Amino acid sequence: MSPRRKMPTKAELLQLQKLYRTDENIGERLGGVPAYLVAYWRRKKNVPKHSQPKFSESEIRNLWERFGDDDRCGLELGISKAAFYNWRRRYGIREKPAFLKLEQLELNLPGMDLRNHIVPLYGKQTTTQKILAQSAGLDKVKVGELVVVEPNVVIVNKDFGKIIRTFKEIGVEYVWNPARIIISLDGNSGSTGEDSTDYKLAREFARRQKIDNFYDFHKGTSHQLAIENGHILPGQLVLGTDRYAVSLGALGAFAVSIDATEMATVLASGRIWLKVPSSIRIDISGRRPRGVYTGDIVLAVIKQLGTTRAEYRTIEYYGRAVASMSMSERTTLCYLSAEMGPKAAMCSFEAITRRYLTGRTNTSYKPVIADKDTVFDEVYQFNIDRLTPQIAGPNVINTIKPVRELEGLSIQQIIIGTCSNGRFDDLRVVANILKGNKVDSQCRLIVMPASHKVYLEALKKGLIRILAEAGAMVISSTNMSIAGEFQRTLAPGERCLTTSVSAIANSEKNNGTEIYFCSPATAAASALNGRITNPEPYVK
Amino acid sequence: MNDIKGTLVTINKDITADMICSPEYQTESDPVQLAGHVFENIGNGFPKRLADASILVAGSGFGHDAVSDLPVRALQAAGIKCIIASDYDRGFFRIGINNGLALIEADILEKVSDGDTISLSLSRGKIACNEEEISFASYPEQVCSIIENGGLLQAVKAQLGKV
Repeated sequence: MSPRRKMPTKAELLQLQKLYRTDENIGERLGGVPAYLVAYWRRKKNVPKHSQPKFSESEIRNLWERFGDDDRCGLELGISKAAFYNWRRRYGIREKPAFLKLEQLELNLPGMDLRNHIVPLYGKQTTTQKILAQSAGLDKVKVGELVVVEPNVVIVNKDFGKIIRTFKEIGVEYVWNPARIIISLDGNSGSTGEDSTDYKLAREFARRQKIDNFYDFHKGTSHQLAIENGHILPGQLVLGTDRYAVSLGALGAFAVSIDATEMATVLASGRIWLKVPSSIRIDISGRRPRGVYTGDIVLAVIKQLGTTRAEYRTIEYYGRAVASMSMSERTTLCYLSAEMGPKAAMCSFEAITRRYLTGRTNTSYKPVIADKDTVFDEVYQFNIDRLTPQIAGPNVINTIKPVRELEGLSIQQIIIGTCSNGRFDDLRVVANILKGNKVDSQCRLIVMPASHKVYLEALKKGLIRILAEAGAMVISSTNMSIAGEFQRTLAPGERCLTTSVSAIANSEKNNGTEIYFCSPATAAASALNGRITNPEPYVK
Repeated sequence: MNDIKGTLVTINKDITADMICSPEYQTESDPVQLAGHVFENIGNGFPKRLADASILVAGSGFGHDAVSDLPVRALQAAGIKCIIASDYDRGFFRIGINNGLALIEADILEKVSDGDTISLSLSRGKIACNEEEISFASYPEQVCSIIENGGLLQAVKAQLGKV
């Protein structure tokens, strides 16, 4: 969008300042206006740099009521103990919070249970509620409430034609904020004439609207691109157009999918209504045994919860096993959670997340973490100490068995990769199994890295060579639809092993073929034998 | 049009999308024709009972397995402006509101009967029925404007047209 060059009115500037505080943020909201120009407008309109205090009275009061300790409250806001004290004094908050006083009373009056009288002034909120409240500009939100939110990032990766045509129909010239929009041309297949016109339309749209975060289809799969290029930050609200947008929750963001018409209106207005979902907490503890990977863990979770339990709710993952997962494993975890039909899935913010983002983004972010004693809708505990590799299928994701039970079944085609399991770590697992061995002559192995960057990294580290020497067909980074193309090479009666869940979702169309879903390690070990194989002995 | 007032009709719980309107009428675009097929196979006096009602009161699990906007279009064609049920299918809820059908989460099935007149305010989150006031989660301003303008697209058009 050519940034807005017309000077806003004083009232508008004040309103913008109230919502976005700094000149940089106001500039971004107006579509890339430089901060100095906003500063100039302010001087012209006689608006001071900070007409609003940095922290509002309610914010300070809420924190104080909640912790009653300058040091702790300062930590929450990222300021010192003394600075928090000054803010508190400025608003004349000198009294100790009510619950502290009650606690002291309790000491004085033994035998009287005053605990029931303590009403928490700041309701316990889940990560989901906190992120939604933040995006809606509210202090807190209730489950089931309708809120209107402004997303931090919007990813368009499907139905370009419909979205762009609807956008034009609305009659707005420019999108709401080009800096917050990502267009990635995966999802649709570019093979038919109609789709290729849509692709062209999307390219022109991105150019005209000055959307810098535009990725053509050779760059890779949209969600991987959004994560590896640092577009998604913890605590953000992300909107996507396909159901696998939930994979972005790996970074601690709340990512939901919406339909094409809604997406068009978001591009125009930057607002959408959402119903605050309740949350399920899943604790995964224990140490991963040899040969067991994230795919197996998710299958075990789906086996227990079923594919409908999490509908319209958020899955929040916690626990030791999740805390030690790498970013690619977290992405796989959230990606595969889409099979349970949740509104969103997210992993807790850990040191790993912070390390991953270092060097990928310059934008500052504030992780959002659920309150300590939040009450979740349902809580599930999983221990993976004794988990064995799992396999789902044929053709449906909810028939899940241990690999052991299906061992020996012959396989004609194996696909490893795409956005569910095509990251560097996954390729390394596969390469370690295949190194120095050959893929069975009766079996075709196709490997697809999730993005161009992953492909290059694997090339540099020599993984591609190992895979190619073993007899695998390595395709440059590509999207799900091309994985779908490979399904057409399957004859009725043939069996295919895949690490891409979307292949299973589309498999109803291919009558007579059997498609199974498993982890990359199981797929690689099976490729060596041409039959379904437990990967455990092959993992070095 | 924050306030909706009208005669209501009650229906039992677990109404699926297919019960509202059979999927074979998917391509039917004439509202008059479509209105005739609403609750066709449900018996119990339907669809005649819908005749002069504008509010539908139902139990839990309304609109299950909704995959298209057909049930919403059909209900609107039959003159329904607002539905009050204790919970909805997630797909139906989104499609409904985005098409301008007011969907309210409240359990009043036991408190009312056919032909009662009730009035409700979306922005305040109150239903006045039989001299009793029931509250529900109120709609934010933007969602009210979706209902008012008869759909998400129309609301955004109206909103951005003004600026």
